[in-house]
This record gives sequence, C-alpha cells and structure tokens, in this order.
Amino acid sequence: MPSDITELLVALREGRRDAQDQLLPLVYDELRSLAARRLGRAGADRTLGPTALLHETYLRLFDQTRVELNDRRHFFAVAAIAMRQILVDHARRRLALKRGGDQVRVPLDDRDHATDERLEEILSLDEALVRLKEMDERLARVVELRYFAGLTVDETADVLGVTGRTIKRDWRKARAVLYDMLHGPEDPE
Amino acid sequence: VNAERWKRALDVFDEAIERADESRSEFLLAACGDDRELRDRVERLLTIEREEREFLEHPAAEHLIDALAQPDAEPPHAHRSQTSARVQWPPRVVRRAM
Repeated sequence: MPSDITELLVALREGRRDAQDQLLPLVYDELRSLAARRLGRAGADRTLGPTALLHETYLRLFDQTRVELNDRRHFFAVAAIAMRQILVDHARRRLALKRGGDQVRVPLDDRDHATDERLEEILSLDEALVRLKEMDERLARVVELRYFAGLTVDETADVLGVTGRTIKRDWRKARAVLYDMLHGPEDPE
Repeated sequence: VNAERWKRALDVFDEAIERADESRSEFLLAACGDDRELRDRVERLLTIEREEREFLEHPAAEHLIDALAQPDAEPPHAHRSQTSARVQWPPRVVRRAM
C-alpha cells in the first residue's frame, strides 16, 4: 500500500491534478484510523495536536525513502482539505443533533453555548472561504492551512513557498475581509 | 461579489496599516480619491483590524480530535480502491482542488 500511495505523491509532484482527488480519501482514512488508535488507548490521548497528527500521517502513509522535500508541502495542502471536510462534517452533525426535534431538551450552559458558536463559526467560515477563493486564491489557502489545519505562520509559509511576513500580511487581509463578509453590510450585487 | 473591487480595497488596507496613524488619512485620501465606496470599505477593514482581535484566533483544528473521535463519522466511501474512492468521494471537495 505505501508504495502505491507514494506513486500518487510523485504524480502530484509532476502536476497531475487527478492525483489529489485520489489521495484525498486515503489521507482522510488514515487521519481517522490514526486518531481512533490513539483515542482507543487507555487514558485517551486528547492532547494530540493537529500538526503532530498530520506529521504522523505523513510518515505512515508514504515510503520515506522515495519522498522529496517538496512532497511534504503537497501532502499538507491535500491534508488541509481533508481536515476542513472532517471539521465541517463534524460541525454540521453536532448542530443537527442538538436541533433534532425528538431530543429531550436540556438547558444549555455557557460552555455548550460557546461550543455551538464555534461550530457555527466553522460552517460560516467554510462558506465564506468559497467566496474568498474566487477573490484571491492564496488568501483562501492561507486560511485553510491556518484555521482548518492548525498550521503556524512558518509552517504555512513553508507549504506555500513564501515568507512568513507574506503569510502574516495575507492572514491580516483574509481575517478582515472574512469578518466583513460574515458581519458587514451586504454587497450591492 | 465584485472581486476586483475587493482586491483593490485589500491592497489599500494592507498599505494603510503599515503607515503611522498620522499619515494614514492622507494616504487614504490619495489612494481612494473620490471613490467613496472604496474608502468606506477600507475604513471598515481598518476598524475590524483594530477592534476584532479575537476573530479566528482559535483554529477550528482544535476540534479535530473531537471530530475524528465521532464513531458515526465515516464518510460514504466504501472501498479504498483508488478508482472507486475517486468517484465516490463528495464531488464538492474535488471541485475545491487547488
């Protein structure tokens, strides 16, 4: 298996876009099974951070003797899409469950309320990102990598092949425009 | 959304923020001219930058472990074979390809 998957990474390196479509569900599965194994252990390891999870997934999926430095970047870009999908599905399901008609209503405490707001933020961000991508593709990718995949400024800079300073400026622009999309006046169009 | 208008506003915003407070309004006047809409948009972005410090400060990725721990969270792809996976995975995602 690892050698087939590594082939996909090589194909991605050569610019074949279909390789990304094929890689995506495999990364998705590996993230899930890795998390399941970690969570299954006694005292479930809930401290496992997203970056650590991504690194481990990368090491497990690919034949490390055949990958190049650039492949790691491609992998992170694909993994960020998988993580976004996982998180959006999660948010959608959790909110749907809470609003389910047959459920016994329990009073919400503040923590529940805060969590709901986070889940709603994830969904609205996902939609706003589609619009941001039409406006400026790199800004959308920066948000995908930082917000959905949890990468730091430096890690994001590495994946996109630009400087940390550029990422900081991109992030500032993306943050402001996304906030305006979500809370500002409607665009007259 | 008028993408070009937004891009212009973002560029002006990006430059304005690098300037000291004293020279900012002068810069905005020069950059926006009598384009009131552009000026309003940039002012809005500057206010957001100043006042909404918390926005997006906590990555959604913090919820990743919770999301992955959900037992009923399997996506509807049945097999790992590369060809079927490609067809069965939600097309929505495929369109987002970079």
